[in-house]
Amino acid sequence: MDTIKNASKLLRVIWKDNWKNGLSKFFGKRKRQINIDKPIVDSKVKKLVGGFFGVIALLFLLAYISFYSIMLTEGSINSGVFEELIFMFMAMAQLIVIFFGSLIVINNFYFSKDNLLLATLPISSKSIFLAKFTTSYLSQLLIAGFIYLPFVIASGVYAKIIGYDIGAEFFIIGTINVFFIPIFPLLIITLLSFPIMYIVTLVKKRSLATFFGVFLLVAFSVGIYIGFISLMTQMGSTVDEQDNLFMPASMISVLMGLKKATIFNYLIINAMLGKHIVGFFFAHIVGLLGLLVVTMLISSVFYRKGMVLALESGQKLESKKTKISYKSNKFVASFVKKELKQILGVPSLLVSPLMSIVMLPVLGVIFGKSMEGTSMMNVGMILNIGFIFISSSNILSLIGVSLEGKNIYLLKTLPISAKDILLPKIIVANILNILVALSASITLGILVNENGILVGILCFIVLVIGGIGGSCYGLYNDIKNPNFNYKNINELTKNNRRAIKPALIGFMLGIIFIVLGVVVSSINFTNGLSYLIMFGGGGLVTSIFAIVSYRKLIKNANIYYDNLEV
Amino acid sequence: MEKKLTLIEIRNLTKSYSNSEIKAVDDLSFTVEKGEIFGFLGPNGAGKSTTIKCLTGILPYSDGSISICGNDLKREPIAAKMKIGYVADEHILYDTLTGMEYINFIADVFNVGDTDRKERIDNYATIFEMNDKLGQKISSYSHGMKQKISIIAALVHQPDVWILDEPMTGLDPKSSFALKQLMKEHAAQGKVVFFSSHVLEVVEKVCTKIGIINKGRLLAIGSIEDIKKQREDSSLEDLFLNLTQNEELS
Repeated sequence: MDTIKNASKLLRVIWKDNWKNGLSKFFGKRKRQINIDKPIVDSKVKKLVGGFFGVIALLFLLAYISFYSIMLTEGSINSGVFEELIFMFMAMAQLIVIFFGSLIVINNFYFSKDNLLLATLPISSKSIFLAKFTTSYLSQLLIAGFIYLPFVIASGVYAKIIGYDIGAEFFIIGTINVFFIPIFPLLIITLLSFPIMYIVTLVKKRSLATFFGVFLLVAFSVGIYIGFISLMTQMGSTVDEQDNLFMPASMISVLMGLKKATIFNYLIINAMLGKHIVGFFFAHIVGLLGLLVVTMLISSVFYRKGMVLALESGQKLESKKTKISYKSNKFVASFVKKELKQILGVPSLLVSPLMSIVMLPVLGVIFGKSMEGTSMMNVGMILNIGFIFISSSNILSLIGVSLEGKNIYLLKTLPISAKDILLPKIIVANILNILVALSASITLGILVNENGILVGILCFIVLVIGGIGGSCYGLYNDIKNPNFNYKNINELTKNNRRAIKPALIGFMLGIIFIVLGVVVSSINFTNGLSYLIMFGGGGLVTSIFAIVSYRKLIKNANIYYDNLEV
Repeated sequence: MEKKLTLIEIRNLTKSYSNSEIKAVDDLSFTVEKGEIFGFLGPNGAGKSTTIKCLTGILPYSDGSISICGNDLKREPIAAKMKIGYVADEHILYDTLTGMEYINFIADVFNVGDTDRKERIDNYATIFEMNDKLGQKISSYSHGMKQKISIIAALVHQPDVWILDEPMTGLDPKSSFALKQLMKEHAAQGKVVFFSSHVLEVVEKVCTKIGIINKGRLLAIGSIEDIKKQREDSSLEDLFLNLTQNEELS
């Protein structure tokens, strides 16, 4: 009882702190340091227009999900695999939780600065575990609900309309189920993280070991996610003579396999479908609670030891002397070195760019395979994904200014301008962008049928230019509303709405290449003209975006910088 | 009589935070002249740190002006900051760098040449017994070691104006003594030391001039002896307590 009482006290504090430092910056009203863009009236109009388009986009997304869900529901009912379809909806939400939750779990448990304080308090490791686990759980609840509910509700409503035998319990338990969905995947990630992070604390080269530990866990999550996406590419439907939708055999076998892999959802799904409603429903809850207790017990062995070891020996294992040099450097070189050291010292910052490097070729192969025969359109598709990744995954540009934290105090006392600070950040962000662009370009070069090397080089150039624009835009976005008061880097990276605008811009840039790809694929241009239209036209727009973003950043940065209050 | 050169000039400085109506600093004016060690005193929340943050360019201010060695901080921020060395009240350091990398980073910003750099770093590292610690990561440093690195980095370009916010915090007695000596030497070279502290004994021993602030307003300024004489207080402690308590009552 004390464990739960202490955990709830702790949770209240952690949640409040998270809300103040992270979530409120996502959902709440943002404190604008200074607005040099537009007068207040314009800014209100901008907000209204933004809100309007936001609602339209949300409705569009919900309509798309519902339509997709209805198609799948009809096909699954006609093929006799409706239950398996619900398994898929649940698995999809759980995989998204694994995908986003892995970093959150690791950050909350191991890289949170409150660990030092918590270690001194008379609170059991079980209470700390419960509080931190619940924090991770709450942060994933919304994502799980957003993915799962529209699919299930649309599916249920349509099933009911076409006369499939489901009762009110499908909707009631189905809705309550939102609260259960994140628990299992988060427990699995937590269980996996204990031994990995414990081993990390025993290794001498801790930074490197931490990086590999985190990478291993995230790679596990992403691996499952990519596996799921590749399975989904087999999704499709066939129509019989009476225009009834059916699922092809390959899809049915995918659904069957998915059901087997996620059999832990059996009780709750069957309760939804009216089988032993009360018994299965409570059995599912008991099962989850049991797993939670087991994880909590394991946590008392591994987590506390791992945390205490980390605090005890800290970085001292690594504090061996390095060679001292008195050599002076140009300020930019010195700053770039500082930036690189800073990101290498925080492994979680490197995870998302590295994932982009890994995921782009995988997604390229998946999409490339599914769209054979229209190679320039494929190029457009992969460039679209590349632009989204480059614009939204580069943490160094999205939170490059916020990342300074209280060190912004120091920078503001130095005889340097905002441009001096931002330029090295653009350079370092683009070192990572170049790696992502390289990975996408090599994939494209291999995938296209003709002139692979040329296409690869041209793609590389436009992605790099887009990356420069994206990083400038990201930094501009950040310097306008930075967050310097975070305690845990996780507060900056999770729920990061700074990623939304750059991702949308990346998406828009990518759309231009898709459209151009469609145009040159449908009209029989010569190769030379195709490339000129595709890369010349697209490259021009990308270059304009890069120049405008850079100029806007450099022109206005000093005003925002001078008015920053930490 | 020879006119003393003013290195810090604050005129009618007023600062309110964007999330508050209260003036953290209210119409503050004073000067610090060449060769002075200026002690800035005040109870918690009096406006000392805010003043120092305005003085170092960390915080923007709405009214008034600040001039460092004749350079207006708002109009010529780079020139003004070139003259400043700052030791913050909390350790704002890049933990992933080694001590030496951090000092080099600051030295690069201030364009300190290789020879001067080596000579100064070796000198200060010896004074603070940090020679064999410079190659270690800052994250492995103790509180006091971080403070020492901040001090060395602030002095690496031999600033005309050395500003320290609560500098004695975390230092061992030997290092505190060394710091006091460095302050005196700095002032003796015709430069300025400006520091805030709660340790009245240190202020009494080191400062040639003090300013007492409360609720953002300057209550007294001058040499300790002059202020004590004017107010008939027997010690700096009495002076400080009487001034700030009277302010509370009023």
